[in-house]
Formats: sequence, structure tokens, C-alpha cells
Amino acid sequence: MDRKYSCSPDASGPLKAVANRLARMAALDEVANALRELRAFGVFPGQENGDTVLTAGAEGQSHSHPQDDCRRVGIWEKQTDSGHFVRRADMIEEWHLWANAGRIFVNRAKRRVILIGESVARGYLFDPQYTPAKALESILISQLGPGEVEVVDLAKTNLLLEQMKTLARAALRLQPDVVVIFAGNNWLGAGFRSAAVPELATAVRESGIAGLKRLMEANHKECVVDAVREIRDLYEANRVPLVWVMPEFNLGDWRDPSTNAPCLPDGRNREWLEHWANAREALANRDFEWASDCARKMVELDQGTSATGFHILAECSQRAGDLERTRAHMESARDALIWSPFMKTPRPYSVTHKTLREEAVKGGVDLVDLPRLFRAHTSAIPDRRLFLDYCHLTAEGIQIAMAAAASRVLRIFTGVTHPWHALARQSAAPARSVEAEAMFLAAIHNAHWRQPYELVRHFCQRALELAPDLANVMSCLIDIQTKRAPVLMCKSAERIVELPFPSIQQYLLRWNYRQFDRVLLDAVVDSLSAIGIDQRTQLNALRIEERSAARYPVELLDAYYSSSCEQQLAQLGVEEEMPLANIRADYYKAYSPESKFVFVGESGRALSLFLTCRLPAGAAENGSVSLELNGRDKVELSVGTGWQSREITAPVEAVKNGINEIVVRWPSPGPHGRERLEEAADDLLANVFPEFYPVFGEIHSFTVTRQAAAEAANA
Amino acid sequence: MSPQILEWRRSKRLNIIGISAGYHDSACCLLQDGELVAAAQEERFSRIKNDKSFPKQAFRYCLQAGGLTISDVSCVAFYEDPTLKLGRQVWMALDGDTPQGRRDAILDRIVCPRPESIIRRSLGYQGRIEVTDHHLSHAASAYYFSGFPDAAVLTVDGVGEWPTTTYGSGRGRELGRFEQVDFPHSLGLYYSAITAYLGFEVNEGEYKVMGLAPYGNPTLVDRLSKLVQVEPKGDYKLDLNYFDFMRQDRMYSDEFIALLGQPPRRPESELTQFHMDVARSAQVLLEDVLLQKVRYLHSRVPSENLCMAGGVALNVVANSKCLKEGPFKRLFVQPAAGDAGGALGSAAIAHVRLTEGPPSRAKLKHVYLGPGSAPGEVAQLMTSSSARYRDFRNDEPSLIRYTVDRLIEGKVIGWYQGRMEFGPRALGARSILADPRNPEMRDRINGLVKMREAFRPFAPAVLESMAGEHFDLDHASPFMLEVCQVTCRQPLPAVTHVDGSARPQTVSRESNPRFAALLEEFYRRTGCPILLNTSFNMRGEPIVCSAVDAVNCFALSGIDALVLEDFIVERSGIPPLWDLQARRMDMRKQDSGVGHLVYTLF
Repeated sequence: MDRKYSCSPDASGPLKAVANRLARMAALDEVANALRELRAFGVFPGQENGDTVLTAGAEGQSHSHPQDDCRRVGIWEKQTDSGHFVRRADMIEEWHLWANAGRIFVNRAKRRVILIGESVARGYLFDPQYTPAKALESILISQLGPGEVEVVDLAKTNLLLEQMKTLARAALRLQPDVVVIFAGNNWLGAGFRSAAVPELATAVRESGIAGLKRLMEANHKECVVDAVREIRDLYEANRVPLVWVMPEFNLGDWRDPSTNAPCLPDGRNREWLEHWANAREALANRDFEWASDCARKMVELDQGTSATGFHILAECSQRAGDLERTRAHMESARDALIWSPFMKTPRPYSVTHKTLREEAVKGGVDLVDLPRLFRAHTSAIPDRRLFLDYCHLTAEGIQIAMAAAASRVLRIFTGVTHPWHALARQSAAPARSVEAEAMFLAAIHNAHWRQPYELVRHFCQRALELAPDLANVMSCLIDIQTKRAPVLMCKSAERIVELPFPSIQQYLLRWNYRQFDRVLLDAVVDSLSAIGIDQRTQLNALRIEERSAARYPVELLDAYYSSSCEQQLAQLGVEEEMPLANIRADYYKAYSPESKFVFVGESGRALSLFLTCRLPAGAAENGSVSLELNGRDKVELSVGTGWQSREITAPVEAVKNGINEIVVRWPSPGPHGRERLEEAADDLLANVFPEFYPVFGEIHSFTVTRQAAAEAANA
Repeated sequence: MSPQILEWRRSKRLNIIGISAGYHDSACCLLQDGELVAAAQEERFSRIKNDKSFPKQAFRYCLQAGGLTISDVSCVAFYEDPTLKLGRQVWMALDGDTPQGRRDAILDRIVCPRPESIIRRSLGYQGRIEVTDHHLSHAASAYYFSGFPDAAVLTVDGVGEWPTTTYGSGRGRELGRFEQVDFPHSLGLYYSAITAYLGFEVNEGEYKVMGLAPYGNPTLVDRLSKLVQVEPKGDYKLDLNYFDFMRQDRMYSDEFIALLGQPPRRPESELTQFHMDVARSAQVLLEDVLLQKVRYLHSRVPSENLCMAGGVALNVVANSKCLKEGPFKRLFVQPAAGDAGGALGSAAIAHVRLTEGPPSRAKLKHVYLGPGSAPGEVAQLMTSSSARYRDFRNDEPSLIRYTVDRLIEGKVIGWYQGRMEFGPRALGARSILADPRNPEMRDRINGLVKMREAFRPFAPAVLESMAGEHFDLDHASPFMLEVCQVTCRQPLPAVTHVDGSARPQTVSRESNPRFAALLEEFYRRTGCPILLNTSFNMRGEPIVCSAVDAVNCFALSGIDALVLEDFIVERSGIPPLWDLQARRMDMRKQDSGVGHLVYTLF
């Protein structure tokens, strides 16, 4: 046969031996590590130098944006015959993220304002019944007259930085007179995406997590500058005025999970934990000076890479009445986790604000500075008055933001400055029932992001005040969150569909992820009780019937249950847009000295707990792990670094009817020193998810079931 | 009384977990003291078709099925040697004309974490790991579960590490091979090239080529013979000028196209007589080569028994020809003969290594090795919703009668019972059933659920005791792995292929009592002990696993009734939100684990 191959394809030839030998060498860890680093530095041809970025998702799936298609604007596509833009049917799974508009007309009769933005610009939790675009349009119409102006709503929930750039380019196809961009919350992963892996690994190796944080801030700034300049230059070239609404964060109410510090150099995590324990004790004793002192030491040790110390400082400052210092600490808390790949809520960082302000000063961007605006409006730290959650606005917040935007737009159109506070009165407001829905959805959303009971209860109560009929929905929620059948296979879900609350239907039935929801359901029950509706009995009975461990074996690591424990890090998972998502452990890791779990027990039914756990690699042998049930009954287990399984009996006397709590206390891990950070850096290069936090213990399974032996004995 | 710590009753059994993962069809299995206790493919849990990611969920299922914790696992066996495989991949890159994309892919393989590392870091396993050769895993998956005291063993697939075909023998606990054909010469890749040329997905569409073949004439065998040159003994060679998988993301070359004289078929476009002739000719060539090699194998291993495994062993038409016309008297093909079955073989080899004895020598009687519903789960599902259902708990005869009534009426039934099957075939646990006598049934099921090509027949399930009266079959064939002629006097248009053949599953009370009872009742009422049996899934989806999966598929499809353990829901009894639930699940992001156009070499 003709041989067209330059090398012999004959597998019996000498090249086979060469290949096999190379493979054996490459299988050695040292060689594979060297190749990884060389590749990460772009040494091999075909790789862009230094730009290798790990991809998120299983098996290295990449998340790339579609190339600009000159016929598309978001989910709308230009029709050849009419020239109008029509929603694409093949993108129907995305429709709910955008405005509910089937068509965008190419109509030059009115002045056209385009609103581009993220979920905050969608009016998340109000959408589609009430949106910032509607508020903005109502204000503009009130000043310019009906038929004179329209607002085209291109806001999209989950809009990311690169998508925003694409959309900003595409928006020009709609021939806007002004474009308003309301964005800056969803740029969380920007720093990671642009950073080359070697840079990340080097930062961790040389400067620990604090170095990683600095790198992320620098990269984030770079991304923001690039994005703003690109859009500004494009719009200047096309002579389209640009108004940028810079978002704010719910500093007053939002609390990121209080977590342990990440791995600190020189084994200082133990010291950090001691200061944290002291700070908690101080707060309990209302000794705010001591608490402040401890918190300062925490921040000094962790160099601002944990929100925990800042939250304590903020609380102390607040009690001392020092508003400015409180705000500063809250901002630092918000910024602390910019380096972390674990999921966190969208937010604008200080570096985002600073960069946007700096770029606005250079011209070409008319900046609506919401942080400053809200500060001036309320003279207080922004909180639940203006925010439904971490960044999404209440009706008042939307009206203020859009009034400020309208003020800029009107100045562009008419040359006249209208004070925003006057315009705010002209803004459309949501109907009471719409606002009530938003409040209730906010209660759910806050609860699912582990916010305190008090905040969740606040929103439940507000919802009922605005629309007492919501009590029916709340009763249904108790049912669908507790039942074992899938949400949409519950009768209560069918009842929700029949109730006149379209936003709740959309969010609850489309996006609801069932959880044990201890805080939420307590808040719901207590709010209903306050208006004379007793659902406590029903909830307790339903929990027993559907979730009792005496009836159905329960795996406490299952997301339904562990969502109610306090292991926020493990629960929240990793940002989808982040890289570093490969090879994650498929078992529980304790990132704190205590792990808390809940389950439902039944009076008169003894249970057995089956725990398979171990201490992390490198821990001292024979560490003592304690397991405490309901705050009183305690056992001690001797645990090593190999998996060990134990059965722990919980006699009838120890089991409560309803919710039971287990606290597992782990021994303190040994000092980590540099080696943990070196391991994390190596893992980054190996495309393995790195452990940035100390691990106290690991659980492979933790099941609770009825105690067969006790039942047999009693039979 | 206070809580107490009890002595953990560690499993005293030898618990071996077998894993296949990384390229396509990840799976996990559990051998306990040599007995196969559990097995499942990851796709059934993840709902990602052909999921190749590490089988974390299947792993946890196997532990749970065996009543184990991770500390009870004696050994994890991995189904192929990553270093040997890397050698083959590196060799491909040494070709000077290899495009950069391919070289990058090879570098990916070098720098990505090794399976042992993933087993330790991701699964958390700390104990002994055994790595077994890919084709030896295939061979073991067949031989050690065949029940044969000795056998010749033939494995044929696309490629594992280096071998694509191996010839071996088994006797007692010993299993070895004496000859192999190495990459790039591969009957599996030859057939996959034909598959791709005919516009079907590689690793998925080979079955369609086999099904299309009876419609064609073997007019192109001579031409196709240029692709595969049979060499002495067990050897053969592909003429690589006709194949492009070495360098391109395409299986066949321009010379291949020129040889056949027509451009490749675009996917989903019309199938012409030419395409059918290609399929037929390719099938004839495969059968001829296999038969020659089977005869050769018998000359070296003159056993009465033959075991086959590897993806090509799923070509049941070729298997049947090898058995009928070949020198062996008995043939065993393990139902998950593809890579998923490698998990079984790997675990079996590990068992031999650890104990120096074979795993259980009983023949594999069934493959109901996956998860079933927990007690009370289905009842709770029914009572939670406003579905209108019939409750036949403690009244199986009535359930059976009701179901048969519907079948006779011409209804299509979703049938969910007991533990899920392991392997690509539905065998009466996760099945769609219908009356095979109905001439419209094939089109009806295609329209409702399968949306498959019209030429593909469905398969029958028949009572084992009566199989010989209706099919040219003189032995039990419980896994739908043999083809035979339909001899039934009653026409069975829905399950009879154009050449009069069928691929039956024989059903016995011993292996599946409820399914057998259904067939018995159908026979009693109609005189026909046969039902149409196809897998319970929509096109493009994995076979349903859980009761909720079954409900989702039922709601989305046009199936008339769902038999869910002891409960029956008619189409009219579906609450409106079930449809929304199913669509919501359907819209979840899905990634195919397998390349569509080309074999997964990397």
C-alpha cells in the first residue's frame, strides 16, 4: 500500500517502544508536574503564552461566548423581511432571564433609551411585573410626554462581564439615542478568568492567600478598565451617550458566612481561631472593646482574606455609634473574599467602585454613583430599606436609581437638569401585591443564602402586611419544602399555580431548590402565627411524616439536610464561571472546628447514627472527635487518618420529637506552615481543586436510621 | 440512657469495586466474595447520555447496595492502564503530520490527573488499587460471568491501550491471551468509520448500521474489502490510506469517499438504497472477518465455549453468525459488553489477584443490578400529587390483568419494576412494552418516544418456556444478544426485521417473576407469549433510573400508561405540573460524554 505518512504507522516499529517509554516517564509525578508548569507558562507551541486558563465544569468543558452575530441582540434576532428583532425560539430556555418582550421594533418615531444590565437591572424578584426599565420609562414619559420616548429593556439576569461587552456592542444595532448600563455586580470571576494559572500559583506560593487576593484585585481592576474603555470608546465613536449606573451593596444587612480563615503562613490559623473564640465570648458578654481587639488581631493575621473579623469590627463600631468606621468595616467584609473560588453573592467590590469612578472622570461615561446617592438619601448605611437581598433593590431603591438615571438622560435630551428626588415621585411604583411577592421571595432568597432569622422574618412579615392572602402561599411552601416528592409533583405546587401570584409561580416553581429550610420555615410559621394562623403543628407533623429518620434512613450529607447546617463553604459550591472546578472531593470536608447537622426524630423511637469519618492527611493519629446530640448527650470517638465507621446509638431519651441537632467537634489540625500553601499551588498547576482552607475532618457518610436492635429488644 | 458507641460490624466479605471511566460510559460495580451484587452506569444518575466522568454517584450506589461504607472496600479495580494508553496516544503524536490540536490533546492527557489520583482525591478511597489491562477487563467481564469451566475468549473493540482485538483462553481461574492486534488496525474503528460515513454518531450509531444492513444488498463487499486485509492467524490490517482517525477529527479519508463513489451522508438526511447497500456490505465484511478469526481461535483453543466482549461484541448479528456457522457450540456475551462492562471484568481480575481463585463461577443469570425504589417511595410519590392512579399493592394478579387489558387495546405502557438493568438493553425493569402483533406499533412508539429511524426494529420479550415455538432458538437468551429468525405463525410486524429476524429476550420466572407473569397473562388472553420491549427513555436520554425519571419520561412522551411498581397511572391521570416538571428536567444542561463525529481516542 502507498504510505502517505511521513512516520511509519506500523505499531510494531521502533516508535512504539519510544512512545511507551515516554509514557512511562510522563507517568512519574515529577515529570508530569514539570510538564504542567511548562505548559502553564506557555512553553509548548500552540498555547498562548501565559494565557492558559483552567476551565470550569466537569471534564474541562469551556464556557465561551458566541461570536458576535450581526443579526442578534441578546435573544432577539433580526428578521430579514421586517427588520424587527424577534425572540429566538431556540433560546427559549433563556427567555426567563430577559425581558418578556417578543419583539423589538426598528422604530425611530420615539427617542430610544436602551437599558443594559444584570439582575439588579431586571428588578430581580419583581420582574416581570415591575422592572427598572418600566420605572425609567414612566419617569421619562412624565417629562417628555407619551409617544416621545421608549425604553428598550435588555437587562439580563446572570449577565457576566464578557456578555455585557457583547450586548453593549449589539445594542447599537437597535439605534439607541442613549444607553444606560446598570452593571458591576457580576464581575466576580473576572479576576480568575484573566489570570494565568502560573500567576495564581506563584501568588499563593510566595504570598499566601493575601497575595492571591491582591492579584485578584489587580486583575479585576484590569478587566473593569478594559470593559469600560472598550464600551466607552465604541459609544463615543458612534456618538451614543452612555450613562452608567454603578450598583451598591447591602452593607447594612447582608452577612457573608462567618468562616474560618484560609490557610495562613507559619501555622497561624490556631492563633486566629483563639482570637475568634475570644471575640465571640466577648460579644456574648457585651465587652465590645475586647471583641474589637480580638477582631483586629484576626484581621492582622488573615490580612483581610476573611470577612469574619470585619463583621465583628463592624458590629462593635455600630454599637459605638461610629457610622463611618462601621461602613468601612462592612465594605472590607464585602471585599474580603474576592480571591475565593467558592460561590458568593454578586457584588460590586471597592475596587469596582474605585475603578468605575476613575474611568468616569476621564470622560465619556456619565456615572450615577448609587453608593453616594444612597448615602445622601438615607444618611445611613444602606440596608433592607433599599435592598431585598445582597444587591437587588426594593421598590424604593429602584425608583431612586432610575430617577437618577432619568435625570442624566433628560439632561442629554433637553439640556435641562431635573433633580432626581423630584423625578422619583414620578416613577411608577409596583402594586401592593407585586411588592408583597417580592418581599416573600426575598425572604426565601435570604434564607437560602444563610441570612439570619431576623432578616428573613422581616421580609415574611412585610409580605403579609402588604398582602395577607400570601398566607396561602406560605402554607403551600411549608408543604413543598418538606415533602419528599419533587416540588412540581406536590399538590401544594398545584395550588400555588392557581393563586394570583405570578412572580412567586415563576421563582418558586421554576427555580426553587428544595432544602430543609429550617430558618425559612420557622420565620414563615412565626409570621403566620403573628396573624393568628397556626402552621407550627402542621409543620411538625409533616416533618415527622415525611422526614423522620425513624421512618426513612437519612443521609445527613445530602444537600437537603446539610443546607441547614453551618458548613456554608461546602454547601455553596464553586462558582460555575470559575475555573478550578476539577477533581473536587465527593465527600464532606469540615472547614471549621465544629460541624453541625440536623435531622428529624420521633418521640419514642430510638435511632442509630452511622458515621464514617477520618482526620485529614497529615493530622496527628488518634485525634479525639466528639459528637454531641441536642446539646447534652455526648460521645467521644478516637479517629485517625484512615476512614473509620462507627455506629452511635441514640436512645429514646436522647431523641427529640422534631428537629434534632448534632454537633461534631474536631481536633485542631496541626500547624500548616508553608506546606499547605505549596500544596495548593501545586494543585492549581495540576488542574485539581486546591484546598485554600484548613481541613479539620472529613466525613464520607453520616446516616441516621431507626435502631433495629432496640426495636427487636422491645418487641 | 446515654448514646453509646457500638463496635462497627465491619464487613467480613471481600468487597471489590470495579470502575470504568474517562472515555465513554463510566460505570461502577461491586463484587462481594466474587458475587456480582451491584452495577450501574453513571449516566443513569447524572442523566447525561454516555457520561464519561468519574462515576461518583454509581460508586455511592454500589456502597449502599452492598450495605458498605468506604472503609469496607477491600480493593478498587480500574479497567485500563493509563500509562499503556498514554503510550499509544503519544505514538500518535510522533507522526510528523499530526495536527497541533491533536498534540495539545495528548499533552492534556499527560498533565491531567491520573485515575488513581482521582480515585483517592475525589472518591476519598485510601486502600488497594488494582489497574487492569483494558482488553483483559473485557475478556474477564465475559469469561468470569459465563459459567463456562473453560472457554476461548475473543475481545474486539475500537481500541483500549494498544490492542484492538485479543485472542485468549480461560480455564478455571486462569485467563490469558496469546495474540493480539494492535492499534491502528481495528475492526471497531473500521465499523465506526462506516457509521460516521453513513451519517450516524460514532459509538452510538453502530447499532443503526447493523439494523440498516438487512435492507441492503452486499454489492460493495469487494470494494470494502480493500479497507481490511485479513492476515494469517489472528492478524488483520486496515489500509490506513482510507482512514483519517490518526490525524483528523474524521474517521474516513478522501480515498474512502472516492472508493465508495458517493459523498458521506449528512446526518438526519434521507437514507437511500446506496446507504443500505453500504451498511449491508460493511456488515457482511465484518461478519466474514470475525468468522475467520473465530475459526482461527478455535484452532488454537478447541473448547466448545466462546466468550466475546468489547464494543464489537454488541453486534448481535455478527455474534449469531459466528455461533451458527462457527466451530463453537456455545457463546456467551456479557450484556454490558462495551466499556461499562470493563468495570465488571476489572473487578473480577482483582478478585483473582487477591484470592488466587475465580469469582463466582455461576453463569450471569440476570443484570438487574441497579437501584430500585425504596419501600414506600412510589406510594408517597402517588399520594403527594393529584395524579389519578390505581393502587394494586398486594394484588399483583389484578395489576397484571389490568396491564394486559391495556396492551391488548393497543396501548403503549411504561413499565418500571424492581432494580434497574445494567448495560444498554432494557430487559423488563425499565421498559416500554406494547403488543407486537399490531402493525402500527413500531411507527406509534417511534412517534411517541423514540423518534428513531423507521428502519430500526424493536425487540421482543418472550416466555423462555415457549421461545422455541416462535423463534429459531433452542436455548435461553435473556440479554437480547442474539439474532434469530422469527418462526411464529402469528405475524409480529412490530418486532420482526425486514429479513425475518428478531433479537429476542427470553424471560423466566426465576429471573423476573413479574415480567414473566405479564407475558403469561398476555399469552393466556391472546395466544401470543411475546411483547414488544424497548428501553424506557426518550431519544437522546439515558434509560430512566428512578421512579421520578420514569414519571418525567411518561409525562413528556405520549406513552398511554405508566406501571410504576404496584401503581398504574393513565395518561388522563397526569396532573398538569408533571409536564412542567419533566420539561424542567429536560432543559437541564446536558453534555454528551462522547464525540459525535469521531471515536474518542483522547
